[in-house]
Amino acid sequence: MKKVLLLCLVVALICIPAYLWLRQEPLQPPARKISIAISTTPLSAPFIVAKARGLFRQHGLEVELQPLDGGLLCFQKLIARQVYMATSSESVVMFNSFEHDDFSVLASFAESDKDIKLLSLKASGLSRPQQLAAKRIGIVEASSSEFFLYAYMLLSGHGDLGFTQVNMPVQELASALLEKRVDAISVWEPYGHQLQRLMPQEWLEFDTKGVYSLSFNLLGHKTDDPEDLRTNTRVLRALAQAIDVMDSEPAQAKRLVGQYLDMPAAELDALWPDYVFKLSLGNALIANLQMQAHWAIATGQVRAGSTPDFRRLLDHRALNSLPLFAQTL
Amino acid sequence: MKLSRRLQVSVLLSTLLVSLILFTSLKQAQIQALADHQLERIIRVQLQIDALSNRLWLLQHYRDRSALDEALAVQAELNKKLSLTPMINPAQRRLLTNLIRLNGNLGSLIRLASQQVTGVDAAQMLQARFTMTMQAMAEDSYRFQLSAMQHSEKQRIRMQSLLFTLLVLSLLSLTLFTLTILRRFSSSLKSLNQGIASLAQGDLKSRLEVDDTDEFGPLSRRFNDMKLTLDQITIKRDQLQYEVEQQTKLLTQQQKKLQFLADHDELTQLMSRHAFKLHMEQGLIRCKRNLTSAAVLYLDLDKFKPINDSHGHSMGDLVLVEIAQRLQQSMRQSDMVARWGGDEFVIWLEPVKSRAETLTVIQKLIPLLCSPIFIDKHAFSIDISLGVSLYPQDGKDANSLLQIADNNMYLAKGQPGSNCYFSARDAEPWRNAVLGQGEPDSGGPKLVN
Repeated sequence: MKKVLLLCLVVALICIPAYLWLRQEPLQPPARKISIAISTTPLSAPFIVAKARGLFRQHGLEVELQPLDGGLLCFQKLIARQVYMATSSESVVMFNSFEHDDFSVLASFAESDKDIKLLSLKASGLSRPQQLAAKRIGIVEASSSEFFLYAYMLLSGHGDLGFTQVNMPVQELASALLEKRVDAISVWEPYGHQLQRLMPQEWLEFDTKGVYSLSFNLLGHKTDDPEDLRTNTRVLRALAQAIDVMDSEPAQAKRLVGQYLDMPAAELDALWPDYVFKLSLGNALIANLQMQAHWAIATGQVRAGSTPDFRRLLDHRALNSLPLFAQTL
Repeated sequence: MKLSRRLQVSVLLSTLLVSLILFTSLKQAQIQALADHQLERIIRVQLQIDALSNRLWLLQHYRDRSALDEALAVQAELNKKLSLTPMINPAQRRLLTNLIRLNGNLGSLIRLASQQVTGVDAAQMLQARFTMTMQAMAEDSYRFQLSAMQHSEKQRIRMQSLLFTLLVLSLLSLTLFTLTILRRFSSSLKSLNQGIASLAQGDLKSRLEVDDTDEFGPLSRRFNDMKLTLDQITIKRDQLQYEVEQQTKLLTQQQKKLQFLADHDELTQLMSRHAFKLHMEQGLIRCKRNLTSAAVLYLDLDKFKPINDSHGHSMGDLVLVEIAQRLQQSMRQSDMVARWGGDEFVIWLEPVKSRAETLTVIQKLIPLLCSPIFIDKHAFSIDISLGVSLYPQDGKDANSLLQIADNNMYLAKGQPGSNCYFSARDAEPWRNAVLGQGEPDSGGPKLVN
């Protein structure tokens, strides 16, 4: 009996370390260093979480995140080849697709239908679209902020309403409203919340539900380099894992994002439910891009006779090489 | 642990194993049922999304109240179905939340469309929004379905792995446990079997090794006790048998001794009168059957009394012993010599062919007996008076033959020196022999020097 037990023990002692050794992943090559320009918005949460939790490193990547104010700046860094990847809203993609064709959309990783808001001061009493006639509205030119305002006015039946569009950087919008340089602002988060911080309960939000859905996308250079394709896949894998972490540990994820963006927890808690994080690259994005491109052409934002073929912008290779489960996430 | 306890544990383990299989099977069925239910709900949601898509198309084309109400009703129904869809993991919760959110957006869009959507741009944008939202909803619903299927598959694999692991571990434990029972049982039975085999071969000394941890312990102890008892009984029986054999031997020896004493003369060790007569009777029977002849010689020592008188009875006894030895040495195997009493001896010669042969024997015997006897530096000389009777001439029975021989001895004794007398009735010329010289006298006894 003793012999049998001793034999079992010996077999276990041999097999278990062997199994543990064999199931280890093969040795990774030296980590590739890349930089990704991200917008300083909670929509960039998957990147922040992936970086903080070392998920990029798990996939053999040494990622440097470059936080910038808005997707436009991120895009510019990408085009200038100062970063390997960039994040931006589909509006930035749409505008730039008229001028550039050397970038690809690798995946949408976040969506929100409440990220952009149309806000006014309570004192002005502005909360309905028809009240905006002849008013000055602060926007960020050639961004989702501009398209959002247009879409809202159009869909609410006030496309022909005359108002003054005041262009300014996103970080100035709140102060412009407070200083009454403008009557309303079309602003994305977290800049919208700055107003709430500065003047709590002293502002009004227009009911824009369903008007616009913002998507945040991961952009990269157009490439057929296998190494780049592998890198893109690894980035998406890390993002998929990060989204998984955000699903299973939302409090921890919010804490990491709050620390990175220097956002108060309450503010982030208020915004968090508005975001949907998932990796996708479907026709909804193409439809969105086309819709905005039509608008851009129609309003003279861009000088072009037709919309670009957005299908060529979408690079499905990295996303499709992810396991099915990661895509589902 | 006792064997019965081990068997009980074995039964318990088997029961646990069966329970485990039943439990995991039920659990698996439960998981499958949940997954089926979830999939059914998702498919209903997808059908509803499809229905909503149709209604939105109708709304885009007809833009009337009926199309609007139908679209809103289907959107509300979809909302209801979404709220009834079960979600299992955070990913599903996220997808479902997004579906509900998208459906809510659709509701807002439909209501916007009911107001004052005018112009081509607005219509196009509305359609684009509908399309985008519907596509996003369809995409998320399929992802939800995929997630549900994958979750179900993962659960199934997990349960199977768990079941497999538990089964392997349980079966391994059960097998090892049963093996120990078997080993124990075999070992104990073998030991007991060997014990019984050695007992069958008569080994009462060896003992079984007693291990009190199982039921074989008391059995082995009782077996050892039985062997001990048997051993003790056997020792007693052997001792008794030995004693009986010793006693029987002693008795036999005593009987033989008594018989010997009864059949022999104590002094000379020659046959006693009684034994002689018995043997003589048998000899007569043989002679009668074989039609052979025999002779009785009746001897009396002359000049013996003076030896007794002058040298004592002990010396006389020594003389008698010497005479007896000489008689025995001179006789054949088939002849018999007996001390008849005092200094008288009787000899049975069988077979003898004739009187002459008897006489020849006597002629050899007399000088041997009469030769000097040396005892303790003394030399003694005796004479022999010898009477002879012959079978069947002188008589047919022992008494008559002995009587005739005795009579003839007395006739010889009447003569000086050693003499031998045969019966006078015998017509043969040599009936009375002169020992060592001349022809036997044809009538009456003859003196022999």
